[in-house]
Amino acid sequence: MKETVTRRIRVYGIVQGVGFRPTVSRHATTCNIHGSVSNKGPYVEIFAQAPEAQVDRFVTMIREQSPKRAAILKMNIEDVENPEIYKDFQIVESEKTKGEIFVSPDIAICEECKEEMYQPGNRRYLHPFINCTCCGPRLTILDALPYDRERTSMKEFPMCPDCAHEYHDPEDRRFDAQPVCCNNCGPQVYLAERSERGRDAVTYARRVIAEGGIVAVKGIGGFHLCCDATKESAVELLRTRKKRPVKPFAVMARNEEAVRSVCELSEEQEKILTGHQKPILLLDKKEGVSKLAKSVAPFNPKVGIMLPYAPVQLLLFQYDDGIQMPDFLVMTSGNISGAPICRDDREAKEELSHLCDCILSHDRKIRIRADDSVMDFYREEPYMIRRSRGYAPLPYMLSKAWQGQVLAVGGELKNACCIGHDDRFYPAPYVGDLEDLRTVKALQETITRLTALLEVEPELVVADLHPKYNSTMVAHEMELPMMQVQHHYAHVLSCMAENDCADPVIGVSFDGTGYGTDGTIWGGEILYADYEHFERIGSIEPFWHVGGDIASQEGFRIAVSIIGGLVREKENAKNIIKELELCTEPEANVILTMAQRHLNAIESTSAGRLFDAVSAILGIQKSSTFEGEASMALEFAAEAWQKEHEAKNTENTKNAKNAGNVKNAQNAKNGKYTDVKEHEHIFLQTNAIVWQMIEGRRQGEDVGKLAYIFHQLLAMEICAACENVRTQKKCNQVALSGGVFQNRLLLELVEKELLNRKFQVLRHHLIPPNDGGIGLGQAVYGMAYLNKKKQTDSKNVK
Amino acid sequence: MNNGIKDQTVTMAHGAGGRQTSELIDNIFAAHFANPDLTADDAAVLNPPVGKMAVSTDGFIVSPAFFPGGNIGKLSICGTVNDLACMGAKPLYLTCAFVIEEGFPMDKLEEIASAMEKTAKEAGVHIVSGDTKVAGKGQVDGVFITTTGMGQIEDGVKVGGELAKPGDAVIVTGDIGRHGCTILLEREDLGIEADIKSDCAPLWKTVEAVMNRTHDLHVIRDATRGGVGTVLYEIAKQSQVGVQLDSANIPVQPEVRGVCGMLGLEPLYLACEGTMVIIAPKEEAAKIVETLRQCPYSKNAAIIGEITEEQPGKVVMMTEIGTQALLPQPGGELLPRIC
Ligand SMILES: [Fe+3]
Ligand SMILES: [Mg+2]
Ligand SMILES: [Zn+2]
Ligand SMILES: [Zn+2]
Repeated sequence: MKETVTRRIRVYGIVQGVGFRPTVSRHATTCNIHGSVSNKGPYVEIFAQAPEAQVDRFVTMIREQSPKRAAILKMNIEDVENPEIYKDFQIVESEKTKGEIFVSPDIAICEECKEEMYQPGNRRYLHPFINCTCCGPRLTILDALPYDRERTSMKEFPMCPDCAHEYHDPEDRRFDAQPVCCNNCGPQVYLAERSERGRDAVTYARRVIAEGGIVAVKGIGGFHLCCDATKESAVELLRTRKKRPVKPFAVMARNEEAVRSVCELSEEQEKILTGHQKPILLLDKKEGVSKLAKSVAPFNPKVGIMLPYAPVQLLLFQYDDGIQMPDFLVMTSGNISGAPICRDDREAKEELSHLCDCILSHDRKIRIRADDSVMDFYREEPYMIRRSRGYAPLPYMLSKAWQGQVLAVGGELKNACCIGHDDRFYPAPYVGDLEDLRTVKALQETITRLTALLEVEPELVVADLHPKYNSTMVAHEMELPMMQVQHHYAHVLSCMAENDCADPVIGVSFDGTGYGTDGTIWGGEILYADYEHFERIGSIEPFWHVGGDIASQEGFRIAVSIIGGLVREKENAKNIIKELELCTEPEANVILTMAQRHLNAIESTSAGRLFDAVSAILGIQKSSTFEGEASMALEFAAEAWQKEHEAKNTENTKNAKNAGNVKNAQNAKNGKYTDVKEHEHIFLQTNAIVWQMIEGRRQGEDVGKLAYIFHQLLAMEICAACENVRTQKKCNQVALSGGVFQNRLLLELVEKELLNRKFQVLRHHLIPPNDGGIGLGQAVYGMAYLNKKKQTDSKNVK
Repeated sequence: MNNGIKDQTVTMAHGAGGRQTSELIDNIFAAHFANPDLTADDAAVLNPPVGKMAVSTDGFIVSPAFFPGGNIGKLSICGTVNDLACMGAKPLYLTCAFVIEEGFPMDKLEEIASAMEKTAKEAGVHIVSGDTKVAGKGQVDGVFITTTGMGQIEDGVKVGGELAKPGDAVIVTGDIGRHGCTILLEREDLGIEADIKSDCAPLWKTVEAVMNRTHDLHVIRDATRGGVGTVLYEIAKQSQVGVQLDSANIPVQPEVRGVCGMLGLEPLYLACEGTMVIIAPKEEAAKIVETLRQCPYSKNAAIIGEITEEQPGKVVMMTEIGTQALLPQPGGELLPRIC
């Protein structure tokens, strides 16, 4: 007889509530293994007793045939000395232990559950909370680990005998599914502030939508405002009530075919669209007439679209009440502008009742908000714009032997904080813009909940360098040792961390505004960075940012100020401003004087503002009603022109390259920068580019073409600067980050040229290039600092 | 050169202590400030007030020294009188010290003194002692004035920055930001034609009227440098309470709002020189505002918000579109926060 071995196997990752233990149990039967499997909280622990070959096979099966929603991140296998003798294989309950923690994000309803839900006679026919081991809410209902029903908001709903049976039967697909419930025992939907419950509530809400009204719907991570996306009047009504004139609304489509009928959908996009995370995808609209109301995403070649992921959302599209529903519903975050998404009835009543005609709520509590994730695509790969539901709080694991616990509070806009524990970094779900008090509170709540959930007691809190960010204030109030990281360095760090790159990089941080170490505003920066320090090697040419935050909305102000800087003679400047119709004469006067006298003005190298300014100069968009509107319009104009001139493109590229007095790009090619002295700040020749735009516009050139050339010249300048740093620092790796790199045209032009020049390029994938990513960068910096400090401390002790 | 002192400019000799100094004092200051308590002796000898006394001192530098709605003289009286009034003190005596730049026109100096006379009279305060120094050209900018005021605290009034209570109403005695806006337009050549005058005014009578109506007041503050926003942040910190403002109710002159819009400034952070913040129990608020609206300098008084238990140390602005913006902390540079 072969010798029996006993091994202890610990499996780390998303292994709870995904049917991991029954799967292991089945594999054990297949391989004839005795032993046990238990849920330890941070990991699943397996004892396997059998001849070695069988145990090996068992381990392989665990690794390779794990349940659908499981994600194994690590396995530890050890021999057990003096083992007990097992007579069979059992699933056992055990106490939880401390350790590495992985919390599953919420999972969209699976195909099986969807089928059951529409099966007349099924126990869960039309049940708005149907779920199974493969699907359902996770993070948003979780109180603490391990993931057990008593520690979720499902604890208020004791299982009926039928559900309990399924829950306890390892052969059932609802075995160990914590939120399992049915029409008899589960939560209920109802209309807030009205008497309808259950079926009546669903029908009432559907009727409101069908008749062109607006309904607030409680989903997985919060409320949505919902209306018929095919009905112009309904969408307009929502725009009026929400006081949101043009910012695109997200759309939920009945099914994939519906999406196809209005959008281009590539294979990769289809995979994500129908996958279990169900983010909002930014898809190109199909040319021609669309079923979608124009006002859903006006002036935008794309539309944000997703498929239903909560059962109740499916029921809005299809129910047995005979009401005809459209194929598309607007599904925009249920909040008043600035506030976080509402997550309970009190918030919904306070903030949404004046925006909607009824509130379709339910009594399963949302513990932590999770907005919909938003994803763009770049080169057929996901390019995240907002990382939240479905993704958060999956950790990033870095190949570093770091130890410690840090909290990074993130930035000010699109805030997402991040928790670091040893080598693992958990970016939190999206919180929002912190100008609003409620969002600040939401950040504090998220911090409290997530640190508790991940059992972290931060030794260090990391914030942005900006003295007036509310996030910085939140960090101060934590009364922990605190560090501040420069905004654009944090962007670069986030890109390094996402790519698990510890080597120094040339960081191209092209962004809106951030506070610089010299007290000016930065945003178009060339840095040289590693996890511990950075050096600011270059930037775009500075201009005066006049008027504070208002200039971020009114790009024409920056345009006027830049022109004032370029044209010394005030009268000439005013003539150009007049010719470009940037603003009225008194306005121009005020702005020019403010810039001249540095009145409510601050020096800035913000690339975002430069884009806004050029958008204004080209007459594309003079101001923005939502963040990034003018810059996006500039990108769209350039892309539209590019698309139209694809064939002639190469020729134009040449023209563009030769067109400018873009000294840097030229010089770099001629090798002039090889002898640039160290510590000499490089200025990307953006003034020359702006001047070319002004001249082009005055000569009546095609605005789309100019927009394209702007992108191209800027890309060339960036690459020339990278070349310069490569020469100085002997570093060949470039990291591209910052909100401006949401601009895919710029990203494409820069990446292409860098690859041509044989650079290694790091860019973002599932961490947003915008401020949603900087929490990760901050956390990594804090962790690197802690570990370096511990090292030196221990040296000093010796 | 004997056409009278008023055609001259101030020279170093005017500050040297000799004949010209007495000429200056007699013709300009004594002529305007005359009252029984002002003597030529080394110090004023005064009857002490009954009960508690409030003392406040303030230096005034303003460029330009003359502006729509007033000049540095008026400002130097108002500033100190208002500081006393904020403690519920009736202003009694005032001393003033001048530092005058060589070459300053005498007629302008007289205009300043005359404004002081008028304002002091209105405030019911006696100027009891003064000092004059002349500084060399370029060492000061025009005229600097320092005033010190003494006042008698009315019985039964106890106000202070640490006394704001949750539930209290926040009142401003008038529309805000006018002084700051006026100076800005005068100083910077912005080419904006706007009919805006400084709100500079002595407010003791106003405070007195309120105190005659109710003694149930918690905080009185004049919103000078840093404006109403800064004052509210100070009070929030001192009292460890939150302040919640209702943006729709904050009185701002439309012209001031317009200028602020063009410059990207927040009126709450522009200086006032004749507007105070009063914090009092909610039940008293209506009659306080009613009283204020009958006084000449506070016709635009309004309840602009309330004190909350939540968010101690912070000021939150509720807007018409439903946002609850945290008012940026005062101080430091104006920095854009939008990324
Ligand atoms: Fe940023
Ligand atoms: Mg004072
Ligand atoms: Zn399922
Ligand atoms: Zn049940």
